[in-house]
This record gives sequence, structure tokens and C-alpha cells, in this order.
Amino acid sequence: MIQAKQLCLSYGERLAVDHLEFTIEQGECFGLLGPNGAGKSSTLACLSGLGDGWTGTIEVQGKAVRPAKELAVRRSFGLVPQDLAVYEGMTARENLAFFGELAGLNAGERGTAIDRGLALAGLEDRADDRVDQFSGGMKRRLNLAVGDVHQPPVLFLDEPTVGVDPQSRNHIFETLESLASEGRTLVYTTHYMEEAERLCQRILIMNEGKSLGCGTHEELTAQAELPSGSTLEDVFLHMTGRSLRDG
Amino acid sequence: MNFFPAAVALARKDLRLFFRDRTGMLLGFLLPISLVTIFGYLMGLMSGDGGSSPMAQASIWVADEDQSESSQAFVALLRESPMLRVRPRLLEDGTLQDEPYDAATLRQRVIDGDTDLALIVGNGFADAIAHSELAPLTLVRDPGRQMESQLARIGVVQALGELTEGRVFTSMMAKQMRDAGTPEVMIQGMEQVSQDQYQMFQGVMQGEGLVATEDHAPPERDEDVSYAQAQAVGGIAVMMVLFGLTAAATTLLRERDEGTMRRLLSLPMPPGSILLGKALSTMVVGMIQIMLLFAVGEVLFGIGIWRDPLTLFVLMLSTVAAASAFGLLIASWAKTPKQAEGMSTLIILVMSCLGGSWFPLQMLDLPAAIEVAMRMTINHWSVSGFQDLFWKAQSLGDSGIQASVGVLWLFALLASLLAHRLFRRNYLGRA
Ligand SMILES: Nc1ncnc2c1ncn2[C@@H]1O[C@H](COP(=O)(O)OP(=O)(O)O)[C@@H](O)[C@H]1O
Ligand SMILES: [Mg+2]
Repeated sequence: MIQAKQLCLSYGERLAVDHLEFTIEQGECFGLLGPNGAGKSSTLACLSGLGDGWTGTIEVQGKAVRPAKELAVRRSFGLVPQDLAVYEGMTARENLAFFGELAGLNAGERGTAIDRGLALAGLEDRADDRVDQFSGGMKRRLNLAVGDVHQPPVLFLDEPTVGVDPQSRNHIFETLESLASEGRTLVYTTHYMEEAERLCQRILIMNEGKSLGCGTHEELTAQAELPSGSTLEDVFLHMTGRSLRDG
Repeated sequence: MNFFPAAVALARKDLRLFFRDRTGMLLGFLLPISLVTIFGYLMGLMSGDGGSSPMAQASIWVADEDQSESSQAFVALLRESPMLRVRPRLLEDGTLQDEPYDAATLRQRVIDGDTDLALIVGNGFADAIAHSELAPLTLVRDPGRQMESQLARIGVVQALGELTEGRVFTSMMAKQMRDAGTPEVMIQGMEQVSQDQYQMFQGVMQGEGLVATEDHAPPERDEDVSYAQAQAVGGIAVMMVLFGLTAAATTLLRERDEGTMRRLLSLPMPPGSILLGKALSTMVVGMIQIMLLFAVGEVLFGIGIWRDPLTLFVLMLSTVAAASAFGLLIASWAKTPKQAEGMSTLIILVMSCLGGSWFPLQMLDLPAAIEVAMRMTINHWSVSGFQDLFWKAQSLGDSGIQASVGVLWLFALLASLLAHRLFRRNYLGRA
């Protein structure tokens, strides 16, 4: 479904993505797990066709994401950025309508998409309130719903639960699980093991732009040559080392 | 989504956000309006005389040491001169605004730089006038104020002529003829003739007969239009639109910082739509802003916007297009909002100063280098376009306006192309 080969992205001297290779199957939830600064967001940027500074190839359903003019490829995915990428001066409904329109939904489709998005975010009661009056958790939920407004086959999620309360986190999780059960493909980045463990079938552990291992929990345990039954955290710390990460 | 529909959707979003931000909107509209009002008003004050030419008046302090009926009549005539602003000011109720200074104080004030010009009407003024002798009048002046002292001299001589019904000129001439050894008979003859011919002297004073004058003005020009005020309104409008649209365009930077840019770039639309959308929304804001400013100019100063609304609209649109492209150029170039603000403030202030937004530079004889610099500013082409429209009563068919419109659109085109390049590098390249 999604195939990346020899993926590299550098910011000046620094290689943020260093020769990554992976394949993501249709309908799977694929995890990108790594400490801060590992290159998770940079990898998603390449996958979603942002920027033109990267090298290598990415194919989505057999079609190259580049050149960026290939709008059809873009229509097949949605991005939920790590930053809250919604307009604070507009209401939840207006944000969904605006991004839905740009994603290519016509007026008729938009109506249902907005209702679905509001339900997805659990914001039916606050649909016509401006986003700057929302709590962090509400904004996160809206951020997710906006990325999924056109219900793309593939959804890229960049740490969608950062800084939210347990209720919102749980809501987001249940939402993602239901999307997964619809057969949608999810690519999920996080630095929380338990999230990756709960949601993802296969996980790519990355650090400093490089892949340290890729597979199911069991496969990763084997790759790390740890006794079976080790937690994902053991595997992760074994692979990435125990020194502090400050970006 | 396709290029144009996406740009329109993006522009609608920007406008919605713009009109919701009350504080920003008030600043965007009220600040320019108050500046136009203040500048227009001051320009009117400075130029006097219906604003036809800036600063054609000299301010002069008068010390009347004679305190005679005759000297007071003389000062009253001075006050009537259109060239002079006599101080202390005479108030409506006939009293003076300030205590008058004596001669010694006035001299000291000129030395101290507190006063540029003073006229001392000496003791014996009335006697001298009565006996047709040269009156004791002294102009005390700061030599740095050439233009004002010339004006003052003309005003004083005219008042003196009026006070004596021309006798002062006769006696001056008689004295000179006598010094030159002219026979007394001829002098008396001259006095005889000219005494009856005061009219003639007045004419000579105005230059009549020496220089023929004809009055012409563009017949279409609105009679109330004031040169200086039209200049002030046009000049400040251009400057404020530049500031306003740069602020609007740099919301691009905010979108990049806040993350919405990343989402926009991931959407199935050509990235150029983002730039075009920003151009459209800034142009709408700019058109509203500039129309408001000229409406204020019309209501307060009667700059004449109804003579040729089509030409005015085209000039406004060209100005707004150039300003919008300038804003986009700054927004695509800058790495941070601070950088954008600093650089744009610098460039806009320099362009406004050189381009005649603050003062009608084209009235001066500029060194070639400054002249070239002036022609490189948006302000110059826009302001001179508005002057051609209001003052010269030109329209779209005239070459002056065509040049302004052409250069402004050329500017808009070049700035947009450059902005697009920078946008590709700074926004798309590093997502
Ligand atoms: N726009 C950028 N310019 C320069 N360096 C960047 C930029 N974005 C990210 N980086 C650097 O690239 C590396 C990977 O960043 P990122 O992909 O954001 O990591 P993650 O999402 O895993 O925390 C980090 O070292 C980060 O400092
Ligand atoms: Mg990240």
C-alpha cells in the first residue's frame, strides 16, 4: 500500500531521515515510535508529500507521491499535524467546512462530513464556538477530525494525543480504533510505548533518523535479542539507549 | 481542488478571520483615517490660501514703538497682507493673543532662535509719514530664513504703499533723483504726476504692465480641490495601505509557525493557490481601506473623488495590487514575523519619504540620484497618479496616469514573481 525506499531528508548538515525503508499494508495501523527529535514528523512530512527537500521514493497504492502536482495521490491521504493546525478565530464547524472544501468535498458532501467530523471530535455541542475558547483536549480532537474530514483511505497522525487529558486521550483512541476497524490505514507516530502497543500491529522504532527495527512486538523483541515476554519499553530502551533526549 | 477555487476559498477564510479580529480591524482602518485627517488638516494650515502652495506665508513679530494712529493703521494693513502672519495674533474680539514684545526683546529672540523675523516700527513713524520722509522701519531677521524674509519685505512695502497712498514711493524716488543731481523742476514734475497716479504705482507693485499674466487651470478640475490636501490624502493612503497589506500578508508567516501551513500544503491543491489566496484577501482589505481613506479625504477636504470615479478606481486598484505584492514579497522572504516587521517598516518609511507620501517632493529640484530613487518607489507612482487625477484633472486617456498605472502593475508583477520563488523555497522546500 505505502512503500518507502531509501528515504532521506536533511536540514542543512543534519540528516533528519536517514535511508528509511518500510512497507505499510492496507488496513493496518503502523506505528512510528521514537524519542523527541528522532525524525518522526520529518518522515510524515515526506509521506504526505510536503516539501521537496527529500530523496528516495514513496509510493502510495503504486503511485508516486512526487511530483507534488499529483493531486489524486494527495486526495488519498489526510494529515493530522503535530501542531494544532486549526484556525483559532473560526468555529469548529467553519474549520471542518473550510478544510473539507479544500480537500475537494462538494457542498453536499460537506454537510454530512461536518456532522460526522463533529461527532468524531465529540464537539456537537460546541460546533459553533470559536476554537480559541476550546480546551487543549477539544482542540486536539478537532485537529484529528479536520485531518479526517474527507475520510481518506490513509491517515497520517503525528502525536495526536500530546498534552491532552485522559478523557480526551481515550476518546481519540476509541476514534482511531473505530477508524481502523473500518479498514482505514493509519500511520501513527508517538513516543509513548503504551499507545503504540495498544493501537499498532507493527511498529518501526527509529532514532536519529534511522530505523532500529521494524515489526510486531514479538518480532522486535527477537530483533533486540531480548527474552520473549519483554515489554515494548525494554525493547525500546535497549534499542535507543538510556541517555537523555533533549531534541 | 483546482487552483482558482482553492485560492478563493483561502481568501474567504482570511477575510473572515480579518473581520472577526475587531482590534486588528480597528487599527487597520481607524489609524489610517486619523493619520489622513491630521495630515490633510496640517497641510491645509501650512499652505494657507486654499492649499494651493505649501508655506507661502511668513510669520512676523511686530514691535510698534511709535504707538501712533498712523503706526497702528500700518500694522492693521500688515495684518491684511496674504503673505504675512502678524504676531502677536489678533483675536476675534479685537484683543491680542500675547503681550507684544519691545524692540530689544525681539532682537534677542531672533538671536536666540525663538523668532525668525521681526519688524520694528520706530519712534517718529507718524512724523515721517506725515512729511513724506523715509519711515523708520527695520526688519530684523535670521539670515537662514531667506524665503520668509523676501515675503515679509514685499508685504511690508505693500502695506507702506497703501498707508501713504503711494507717496512713499514718490518721496523715495525724489530722494534718489535729488542725490543723482536731477534738476529740481523735473523732480517736482515727477512728484506732481505720480501723486495723482497712485493707481499706477499699485499696478507697478503688482508687476502689471511689466509682466503680462494669464490665468489657466485644467477646466475639469473641481474648484475646491487643494493641491496640498490631495497630496496629503493620496500620500498617506498609499503609506497606510502598504503597512496594512504587509501586516495582512505576513499572516503567511503566522500560518507557518502555527502549523496550519503544513496542513494546507498537504491538501490536494496546487500550493500556488495559497499565495494567490493571500493576494486576493489582502487586495480586498486594501481596497476597502483605500476607499475609506479617500472617502474621508472627500468629506473633510473635498479632494474631488466624483470627477472621474473610474480612473480613481483603477489607480486605487493598481496601488493596492502593488502594495499587496510588496507584502507577499516580505512575507515570503522573512524567516520570522519580527524580521518581516522590521524590514517592511524600514522599506515603507524610506519609500514614503522618498516617494512623496509626506511632502510633495516633486516640487523640489532633486539631485539626479534622489530623483532615480524616488522613481523606484511605489509611493511616487501612486501619489503622482492621484495628483494627476485630482490636480491636473487627467484621466485614463492621459499619459501621466497611464505611466502610473503601468509602473504600479509592473511592480506588482515583478514582486509577485519574486514572492512566488521565495515562497517555493521558504515554504514548500522546508515543510
Ligand atoms: N524545519 C527544520 N529545520 C531544521 N531542523 C529541523 C526542522 N524540523 C526538524 N528539524 C530537526 O530534525 C530532527 C527531526 O525532527 P522531527 O522530525 O521533528 O522529530 P520528531 O518528530 O521525531 O520529534 C530534529 O533534530 C529536529 O531538530
Ligand atoms: Mg514530531
